[in-house]
Amino acid sequence: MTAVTYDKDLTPLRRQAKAKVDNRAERERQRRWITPGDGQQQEYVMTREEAFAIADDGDPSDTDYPQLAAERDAQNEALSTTKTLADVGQEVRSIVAQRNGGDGAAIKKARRRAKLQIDAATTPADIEAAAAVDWSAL
Amino acid sequence: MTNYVQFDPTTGEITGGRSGPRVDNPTAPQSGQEVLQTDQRAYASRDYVDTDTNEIKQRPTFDAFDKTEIAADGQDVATVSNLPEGTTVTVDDAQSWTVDDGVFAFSTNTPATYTVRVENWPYQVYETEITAT
Repeated sequence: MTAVTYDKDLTPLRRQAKAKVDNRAERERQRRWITPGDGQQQEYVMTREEAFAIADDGDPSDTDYPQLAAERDAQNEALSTTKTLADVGQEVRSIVAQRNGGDGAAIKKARRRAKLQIDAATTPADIEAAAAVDWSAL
Repeated sequence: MTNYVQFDPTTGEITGGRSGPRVDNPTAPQSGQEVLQTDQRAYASRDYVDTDTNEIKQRPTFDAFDKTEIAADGQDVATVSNLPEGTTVTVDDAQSWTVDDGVFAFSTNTPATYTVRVENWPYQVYETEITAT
C-alpha cells in the first residue's frame, strides 16, 4: 500500500485572501473619500497641507493659500456664506482628523486584523472566514 | 458516413478525428500520427485505439475511492485499490506519487477539500474530491 499523509498548502490561499482584503480596503477608502483622478488627488493633498500650515499663521493671505482661497470662494459664492481662509482651514483639518482617526483607522484596523488572522488560520475555511470582512459595518 | 480517427501509433491515444464520406485516401494526419477509418464513433476521453488490432476500444476505468469524506486526524484514510502498476496519483495539482503496489491510501491533518486525480494510460482519468473535516 502506498500510504500518504498530505496537508493542503495554505500559502497560495493565504496570498489570495490577503490580496482580496487589500483590494477591498482600497476600494472602501476610494468609495468613502477619494475621487478618481490624479489631478484631483493632488488638489486634495495641497489643500490639506495648506490647512495645517495656516493653523499657525496669524496673517494668512490668498497668495500663500491658493487652494484654501479657492475653496472659500467656491463656498461663499455657491452657498452665500462669509467664510474666511481660517474657517476653511479649520474645516479641512477637521475632515482630515476624522478620516485619519475615524474611518481611516477603522479600515486599517480591519485590514490588518484580517491579514493577521489569515496568517494564523490553519484551514482553508478559516482563511476564507478571516478574509470576509464586513466593510459596511465600519 | 465514416469516422476518421487520428491517433498516436505508440500509445493509441486519440488525438483528433472527423466524420465524412468514405474516401480511399483520407486526409493526411498530423506528423507522427495515424488515421483509422471506422464506422465506430470514438471519443478521446473514453476510447483509445488498440494498436495491435487497430480496433477502437473503451478505456478501462479505475475503481473509486472507498470513501470521499474522512476525518482530518492523520489516521482516517480514503483508499483506492486495484491500481495497475505505475499509476500516478496527484493531489491538488501540487504533489504526485507513483503507485506500484496496487493500493493508494490518503490521509491528512488539515481540514479541507482535496482534489485527487488518478492516471495511468489507457485508463480513463479518474478525478474526485476528498473532504477532510
